[in-house]
Amino acid sequence: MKTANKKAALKINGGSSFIRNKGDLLFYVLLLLIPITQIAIFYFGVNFQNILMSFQTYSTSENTFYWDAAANFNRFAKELKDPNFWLMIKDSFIVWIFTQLAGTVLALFFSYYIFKKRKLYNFFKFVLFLPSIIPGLLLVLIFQSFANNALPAFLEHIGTTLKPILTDSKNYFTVVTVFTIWVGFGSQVLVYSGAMNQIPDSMLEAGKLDGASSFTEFIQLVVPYIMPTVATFIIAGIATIFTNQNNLFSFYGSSLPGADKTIGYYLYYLVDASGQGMSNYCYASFLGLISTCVAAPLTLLVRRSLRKVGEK
Amino acid sequence: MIKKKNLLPNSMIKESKSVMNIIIFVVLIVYFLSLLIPIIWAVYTAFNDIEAYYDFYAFNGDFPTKLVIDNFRVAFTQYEVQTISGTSYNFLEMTGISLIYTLGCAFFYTLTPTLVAYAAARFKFKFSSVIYAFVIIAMALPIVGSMPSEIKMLKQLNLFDSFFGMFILRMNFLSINFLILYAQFEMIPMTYSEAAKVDGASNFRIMTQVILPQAISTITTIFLLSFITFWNDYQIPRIYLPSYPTLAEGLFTFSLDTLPIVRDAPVKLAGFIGLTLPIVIVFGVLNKKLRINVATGGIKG
Repeated sequence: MKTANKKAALKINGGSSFIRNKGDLLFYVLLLLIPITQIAIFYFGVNFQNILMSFQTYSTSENTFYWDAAANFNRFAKELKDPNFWLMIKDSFIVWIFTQLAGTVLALFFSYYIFKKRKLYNFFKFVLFLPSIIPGLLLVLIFQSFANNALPAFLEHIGTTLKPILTDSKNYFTVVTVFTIWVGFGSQVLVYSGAMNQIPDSMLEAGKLDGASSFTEFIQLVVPYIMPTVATFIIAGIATIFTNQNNLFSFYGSSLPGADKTIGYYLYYLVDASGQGMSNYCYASFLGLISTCVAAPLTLLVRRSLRKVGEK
Repeated sequence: MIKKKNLLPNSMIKESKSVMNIIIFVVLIVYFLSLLIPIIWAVYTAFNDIEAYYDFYAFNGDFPTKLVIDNFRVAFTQYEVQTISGTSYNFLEMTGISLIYTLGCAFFYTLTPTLVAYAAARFKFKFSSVIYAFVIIAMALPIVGSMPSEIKMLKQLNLFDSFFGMFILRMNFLSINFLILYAQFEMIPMTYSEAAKVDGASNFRIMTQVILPQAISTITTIFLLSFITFWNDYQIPRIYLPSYPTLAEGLFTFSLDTLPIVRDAPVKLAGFIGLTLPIVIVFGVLNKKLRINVATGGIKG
């Protein structure tokens, strides 16, 4: 009776495969042992330590971490008074809004074109995915060299002038943001066009019989149908407010031509800061913790709101 | 069954010529040209004679027509990256480091979710549901800025600045790859495993010879996409592997360098084209296998 109960407890959802004997259990444990240990150390351990580090500081002379709850908080309070810090927050949200809005809208239109198998659709599918294959650094260098050298030179040869756009402290951030959107369609187009393929033919045919134009079909049938997929991208994209470097490090390393930057760039810069060892680590942890405290509830809130919109 | 294409041929033709389709087509052509022109320029520039290149851009000469391969020779043989410890690595050595790093990381980054997804999908144990739920929660709740803590942890475990440490770090299944593979393994009927078991096959044999081969295209795709990501990434190796500069990391340094031998755009572009070649080759060879197949499975007859 006891054995039967045990078996019943192990079997779930009516699945036909369950842990039958010690051999199965041993195999199951062996498969999971290393991955679970890895998660215990590098997910739970690392994140717990990250919280602790937020209340510590690092002594370069003694090469050790020690408790100082006020140090990071004071540095943060000081940064809050710096206009450049607020500029960084604003820039991070601008990048997020533009990549989400412009990126998603364009990706949806392109996906629709591919889904409807319009002229050269396979070729465009490849073209849109191309920036995901080519190393980002190569694209950065090509864009950098082309915008700084080739374009001004060619224009000057035909009698027009153009200021180098990437070294101008006022415009560089806008230019780099456009570049980020320009190279970022690949995965969205692949997923959206895949989701569009799941739309039942009968639904599209009914729309056509009702005289729906391509635009009407796109807005009233296709977009609502794939909204759950779009919502997933939007939800996953919230964390990028705090992690998106906007390719700034690839373009400029640690020497930006102006004050505009994103939180993602700043966090990486704090850790990378060549020659400064681990002196910024605790503050980076502190900023990461603050960012998580904003990102996690915001993600849940947006997720809930999108679900409510979906239900309506 | 009448196909949609045959049912409404006229409306299809009319639809394909709609204003919206024409606008998207034009935008896509512009997008294509905006990629193509700089790429052609970059490849052409990589073969430019340095003097002719400077003459043209300084308005002292005509458009450079003399093509040379010298820039590739300079980039591949003369450029070296020096680590903090003072060791220098040339292009070939960095390529070797990149290969070890990329192959190892892509292997473990694919293997781990494969094994965990297999266990969770094929063994309906309560803990399997816990794993699935945990992955969903971990992916939904973003955690920002844990890099310093991760580095500290690697240092505490004496795994920092080592390939082994990087491979352990990549044995992570908290990713979309787990969910894709889970769906794949769950779709394969349990009767396959049952039949093999009746024939006396061990659990290991069932996994490696019966189930995994059916998911091979998905596994290959995940490996290939991971390979591309790790090959192109320079930011993680730059911080986690300071003694072993990968090619991408070396070329990042190269792109910011103002040393006389590498400051010229043709030489830099030649070096970067060298970085891209392996990806193009791998992608070209495995392109047809790029498929996330979640429709596999089913017993015929």
